[in-house]
Amino acid sequence: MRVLKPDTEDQVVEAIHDARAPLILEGRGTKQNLGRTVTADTVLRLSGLTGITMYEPDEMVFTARAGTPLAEIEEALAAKGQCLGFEPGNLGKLWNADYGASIGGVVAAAVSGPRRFAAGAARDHLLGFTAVNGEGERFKAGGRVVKNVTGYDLPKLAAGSFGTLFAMTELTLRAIPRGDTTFLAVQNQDPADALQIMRTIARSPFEPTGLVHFPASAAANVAVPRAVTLIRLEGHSEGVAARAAELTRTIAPRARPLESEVGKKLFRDAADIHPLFDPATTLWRISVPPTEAHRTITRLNPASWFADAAGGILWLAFSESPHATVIHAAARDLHGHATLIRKGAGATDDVFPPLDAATHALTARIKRAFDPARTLNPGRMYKDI
Amino acid sequence: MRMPELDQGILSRRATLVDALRRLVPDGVVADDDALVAYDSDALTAYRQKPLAVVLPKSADEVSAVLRFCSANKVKVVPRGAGTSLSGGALPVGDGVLLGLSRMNKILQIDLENRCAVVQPGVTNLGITRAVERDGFYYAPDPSSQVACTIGGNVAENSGGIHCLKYGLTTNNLMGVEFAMLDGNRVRFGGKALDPGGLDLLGLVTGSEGLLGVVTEVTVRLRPKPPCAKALLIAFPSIEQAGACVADVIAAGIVPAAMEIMDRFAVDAVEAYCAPGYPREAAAILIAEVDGMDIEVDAATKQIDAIAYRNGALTCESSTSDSDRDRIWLGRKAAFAAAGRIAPDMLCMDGTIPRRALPRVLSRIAEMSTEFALPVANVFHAGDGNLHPLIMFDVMKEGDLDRAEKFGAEILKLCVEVGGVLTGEHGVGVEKRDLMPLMFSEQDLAVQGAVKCAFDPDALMNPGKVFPALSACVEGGAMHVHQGRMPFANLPRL
Repeated sequence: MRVLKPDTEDQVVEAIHDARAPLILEGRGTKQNLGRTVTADTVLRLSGLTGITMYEPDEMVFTARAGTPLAEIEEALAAKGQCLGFEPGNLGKLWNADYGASIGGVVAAAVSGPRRFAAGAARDHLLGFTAVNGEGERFKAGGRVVKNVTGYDLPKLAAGSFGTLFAMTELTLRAIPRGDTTFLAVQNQDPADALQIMRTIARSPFEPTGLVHFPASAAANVAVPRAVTLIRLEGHSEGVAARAAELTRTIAPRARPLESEVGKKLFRDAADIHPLFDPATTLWRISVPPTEAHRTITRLNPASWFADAAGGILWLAFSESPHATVIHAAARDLHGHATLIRKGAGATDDVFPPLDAATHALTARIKRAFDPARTLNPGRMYKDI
Repeated sequence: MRMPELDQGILSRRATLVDALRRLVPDGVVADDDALVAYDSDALTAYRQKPLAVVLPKSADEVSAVLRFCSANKVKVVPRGAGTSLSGGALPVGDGVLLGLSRMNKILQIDLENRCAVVQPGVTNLGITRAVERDGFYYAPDPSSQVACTIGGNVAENSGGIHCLKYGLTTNNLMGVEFAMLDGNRVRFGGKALDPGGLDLLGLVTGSEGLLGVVTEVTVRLRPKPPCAKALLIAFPSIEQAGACVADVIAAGIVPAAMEIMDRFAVDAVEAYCAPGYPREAAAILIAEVDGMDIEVDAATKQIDAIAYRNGALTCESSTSDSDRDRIWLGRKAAFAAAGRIAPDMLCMDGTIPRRALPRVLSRIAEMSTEFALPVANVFHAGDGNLHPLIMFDVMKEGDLDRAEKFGAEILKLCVEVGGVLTGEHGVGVEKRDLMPLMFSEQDLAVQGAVKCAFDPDALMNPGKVFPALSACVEGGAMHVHQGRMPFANLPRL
């Protein structure tokens, strides 16, 4: 495998412009096992493009080159009492990467953690970017302010495009103030009851920034003795305390305060995912309307699972996974969609939710608009895209 | 404003085309010359043009049928919700169908358990909140036209509003759309589940200003209403100090639901119009709203109060009841109408800038007002850095419109110069179309043009909007932008 490792945007332009065969795009390479396999013999590794080029804490906005380690960004933001609103976890450990992801990779894979429930996903925090398309042409989109409707909202398209459209070289994201945090825990053995409680809290005006449930199996992996539902509240200290008290009094009488260090660790685990499941399992992520969460679990009967976003996002682990088509069909029946995160034995290539014919054709035309020669990560999301 | 040249072939076949459209949408075609006047502009009234015909479908199937027909016959299509666009997004073209979605106005499903509602595109923005407020929910984005504007139009424009400081724009409050493509196919992007499957096409079509297709159904996120909300009314001796206060509040980590500034000109106008009782000695007032639990609202109120006085505030009062809060907002919400009383015509600019540039940009706008000899009122979403300078002029006075447009363009140039953008929530439309090169290079625009081609290879959807010039899509889906080299016909101006 040949590896191109540009240090500048110009070198990225050159590498793509001169490419005569498909390129595998990667940031720091932690999630190369996520998505379909790309057949190519050259890797374009963007980890050499590093550095935060702009950070204005009072504007809560920063720009970083695509290969900048996520950890470096989190550290810089934390030094100013801020953080990334979408709370990306370190998914790479699912495939035993013992180092952290890049900001470009995190956004390209739309990695979003438990705060996604309240603050939005990666796509909601990417304000602008510069990139190089499949023809080696540099362009920019979006801007550096939150409120911006000038031209098409290409940042939305960039988040979750898995490098199939263009190579992002620099990203501008918003940060959020890191508030005081309170955690509540509800001991719950019954999944249906736990999911119901999360939906009730989600409907309440107490603004939780995390609503997750660890059933007994996932809880055991993170040293929690019983199934537990966690509620996170963030903001002004007095306000958070008042919300916690009122929430407990009115709708969750079984909720108990959880020690802050324990809460923080469990939410980090919830963002990273890997600590929750046995390494040998096949792992799917399924988005459904929260009311369909329980039906999804009973229908697919995984070995273990974890519910994020009040049951709107389910992680299902299988020792022996049902066939991908079975899972995709079940997700569709339940008004959602599934993505294969970690392939087990008998790996399938049906990683992303199947598209209907019209959407598939449109997706192919969008691919062509950015990358007509199919140079960038061809087949990473869909076979012919 | 130059618009694409009229297709004489289409114009000559008008009667035949109208007959065919009548068969597709019985009782839903307006072609009478006098009746078409009602549709000849949106809220950017400086530009007027009667469409070839207006078609008012009642169902998604009718929308598909009309699009299929128009596509097959190479007839242009301009979608329209309530026609409240301030950027000319729904300005008709003379050789195109104006596709009005206002009759598709049913709320299809309210699903409180999943915190969402499924509605047709012609439902008004406020109509959604009205339908769920008795259950303690609301739909957060609140453009000032929310009584009239439709959710379909909101999706097309990615509309904002006063409360998007805390709750985001339309795009952050959408879960899914059904989208009719030009070939009549309808596709679903998103739904009641989080995150897209595949590329985020929901995010792409939101804010695409009717250039990619037509929204036929929308699933919106509903939010529980905060238990308590308070408004603060703060008076400042200068608009720069008001701007500095806003920047300091945000920098302190407080996230108010809204922060709005009005200058003295705007305050005087609303006092004459509806007398909300704003402090008259102020050069600028800041209205901040905080929401949440009582205790955190009180805490945030105290913090903002302290920051305001540190920035030289003259007075700072907080609302004592919900009706008092309504009183404080009354003037802000009436500002555009009030300004309309003072001058016969207005241009409302919409640039967004980094908050720290507020003082500099505001003083420069004041200087430019003298240079261009046109009064300007400033009423804007200060928390987001989203400016709304209202340039006042009289279209009947020789040269006024031209000067007003040049003034507006200068303001937007300044916005881009300080790191901002041309439009924060009103859209590019026709109004800012020719200013796009201020922000985007030819290559940047070519990439956006290529996206357009992926949806609409014949450039039939909402032509003449957003892009300074479009030429036909070439093989492979790319688009070449030849600025100023396309043959254009002049559009009559009022």
